[in-house]
Amino acid sequence: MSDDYEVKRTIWDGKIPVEFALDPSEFSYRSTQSHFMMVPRVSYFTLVLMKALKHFESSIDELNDSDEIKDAWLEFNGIPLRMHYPIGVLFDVHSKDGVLPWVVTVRFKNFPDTLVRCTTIDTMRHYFLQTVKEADQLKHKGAIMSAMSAQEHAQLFDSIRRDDFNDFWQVNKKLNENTDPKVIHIPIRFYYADLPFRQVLISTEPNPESETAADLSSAFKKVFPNLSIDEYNLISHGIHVPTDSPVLWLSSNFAYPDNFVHVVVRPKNDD
Amino acid sequence: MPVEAAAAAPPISPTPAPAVAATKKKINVLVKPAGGDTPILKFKNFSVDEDRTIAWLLLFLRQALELKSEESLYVFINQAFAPNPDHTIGNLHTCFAGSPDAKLVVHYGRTNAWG
Repeated sequence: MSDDYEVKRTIWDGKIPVEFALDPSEFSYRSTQSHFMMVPRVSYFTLVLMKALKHFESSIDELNDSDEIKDAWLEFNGIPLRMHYPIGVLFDVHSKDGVLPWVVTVRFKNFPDTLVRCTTIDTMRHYFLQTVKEADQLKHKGAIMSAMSAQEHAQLFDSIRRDDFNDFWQVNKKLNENTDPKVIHIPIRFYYADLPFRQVLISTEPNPESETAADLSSAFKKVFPNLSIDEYNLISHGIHVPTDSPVLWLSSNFAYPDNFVHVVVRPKNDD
Repeated sequence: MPVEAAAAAPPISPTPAPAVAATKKKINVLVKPAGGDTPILKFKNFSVDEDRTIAWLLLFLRQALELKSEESLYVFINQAFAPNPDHTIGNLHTCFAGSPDAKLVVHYGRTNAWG
């Protein structure tokens, strides 16, 4: 399956302007203080939030000598954001109108019970690498990840932190291997309405009826047998993905660094 | 909960109710200790709704094992990876149980054995 440098590079370089704002209920007399950043879609809020917090720490006296900053969490339109999901996925899931900059509220109090705690680099590294391992279980029964050195695992994660495309792909190209061993299943997660993401076994085998390559529409049908694909837009990295895109091509070129293709399913009449 | 609210809502077109949640399956889970100093549970098998999460499973096992809050607990699939806390048991069963009738095998341990 074709290896598309331009697509990979464009996806890696995708950025979202984010305005980190304070919650007026927590800082009533400085609610206008914001911090603006361009953040990579393929990165994580856990990794970029540190910089925003430094800004707030230096300008807000109450946050000095306070442990609260360690428990910071993010909210958009009253919905807590899962910091262990890629930023681009969160934006595509939550920002239905796509208004920029994306205004995200930084909260320091009342950490929600429902939210996974992912406020340190170590926790983020753990969730990221476990997700890559899960993807490799689907693709190669875990053969590639288990053969890699700890240094290579570290390079996958650290290259996201450093925004280093070449370092990332130096290791990640092994996870895209499709000759020895061949890819068995495609790691895809579908996000629909407020439901937890859906993930099923998506084979690379051609469709039995048409003998055409397994594509995004056949994957959608397998995940949502009761939904008609004509009524939905499938969005990843902020664009409408053509439904006849072969899943193997998507996996090689369109996956996030965690090796999953993340697809947001949105009714067409919402757009 | 959004899942139940959506399932209870009458199916008004053109936006179909989230059909995904309409048929809630039970998943049979088989839990096994991951070796080392892992405490042993009094049970091995149980069944849960497919939309339960790994976070829920961890809490359930922590209570069964009577762990203190500072003691860590990990669960593993395929003896290979620790699923993220908001992964559902239904997803993991579909992808890693091997067949629709098979149990989802989950190893648990106090250390990140397959880190």
